[in-house]
Amino acid sequence: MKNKLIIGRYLPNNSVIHHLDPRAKVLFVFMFIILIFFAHSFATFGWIILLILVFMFLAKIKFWFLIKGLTPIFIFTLFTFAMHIFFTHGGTRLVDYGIIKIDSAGILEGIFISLRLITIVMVATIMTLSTSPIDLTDAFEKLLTPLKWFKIPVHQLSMIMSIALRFIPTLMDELDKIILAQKSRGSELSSGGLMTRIKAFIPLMIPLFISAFQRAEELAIAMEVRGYDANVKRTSYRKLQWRMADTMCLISFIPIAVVLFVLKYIGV
Amino acid sequence: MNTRNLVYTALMTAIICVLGLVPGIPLPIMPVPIVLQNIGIFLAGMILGKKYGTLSVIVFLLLAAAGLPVLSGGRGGIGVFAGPSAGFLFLYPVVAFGIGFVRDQYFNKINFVVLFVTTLVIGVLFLDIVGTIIMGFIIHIPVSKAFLLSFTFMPGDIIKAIIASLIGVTLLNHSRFKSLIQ
Repeated sequence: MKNKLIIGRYLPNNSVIHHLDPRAKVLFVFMFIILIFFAHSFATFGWIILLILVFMFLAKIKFWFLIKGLTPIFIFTLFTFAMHIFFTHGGTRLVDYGIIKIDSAGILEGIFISLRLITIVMVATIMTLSTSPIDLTDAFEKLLTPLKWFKIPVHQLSMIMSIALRFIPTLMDELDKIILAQKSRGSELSSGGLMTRIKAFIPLMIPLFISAFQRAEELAIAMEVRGYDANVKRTSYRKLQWRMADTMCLISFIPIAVVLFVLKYIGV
Repeated sequence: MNTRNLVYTALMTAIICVLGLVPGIPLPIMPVPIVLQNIGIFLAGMILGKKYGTLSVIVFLLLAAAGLPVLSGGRGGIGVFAGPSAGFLFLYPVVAFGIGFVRDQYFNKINFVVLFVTTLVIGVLFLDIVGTIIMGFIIHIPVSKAFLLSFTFMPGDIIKAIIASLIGVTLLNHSRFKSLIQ
């Protein structure tokens, strides 16, 4: 498990998209994903894919990274496609063999829904590869600021995220140690009956939680003696800079959406 | 919110992330291995209660949206929230809130039956059925077929509910641990 270091999938680079303010990127990707749900023809998906290739070029990302980002949803895409082939009906009947009936509408629907999943993951992967996780957590804190009018503790969110990020490798090491210690005492998660394996979780989880919460209490005390108060407004060592390029990025969404809706409603 | 609760929330978020990184553990009689991430969601509600448990799950989802590969299977990134499993992800805070609410009501007389029934109803039946229906909407599958699909998830999730309830009842009746979280 130590091989799974939490470095995210950020690719340091020196491209136009890397230098954009993360708030602009989050907003743009959010609107773009909503736009993808309006695409439902070959022309509209062609436009979406063309845009994704442009983003990929601007971010200096190799096509292989986009394909690799599709790996987790590969099974879902196949499953979706198969479900539509066998259960969606309409148009020309292509196969009629007992309970198996395949229509052209089913194949088209399967293609469109699969393209939707693929394009959404691709555009999200471009943002993930071109923005560091810390920048993204900063962006989320800024974008969620209006929620404080609903009594949501927004300005504590970034602190919680930062502490959680720092805790993850510590907890992974701790869990590794506990697993090895219990194995040296004869506990085995991967053999035996169902109840045996269920019970084997207890010696892993209880020590993990108790030592972790003790560590958390020590950290809270250390923060307080350094003058931290969770309810007081803080200054920030890291600052986000909004520039003209960020405004242009958001404004460019308007022609993108206009072209898609034109393609959609002239019925290509 | 004080500093101690803030750090506990962050710690619970990290625990949910780490449980998602543990490889799936194969079980006899079941075709798919069990992943531990759901256990983290259940335990967030049990241990921290409805307010901080829900907040820890929300922060976990924000970290996943930020691109960290903390979802089970190494997934992450904002695209997951528009993909087929988006329904389950958005229901996680609701599940943590529901379990945490019941935990807050019974805090001084907690036992396995209370935790297990709560987790079974909210974390297994509600999460699987509603999550699968939302999955059906996203991939344009009729509701009836999506509903039937939810039964394929339930055996594994029932086992996770048992594990989480055993851990939760042990921790909440552990005098040292109870003094830590009070």
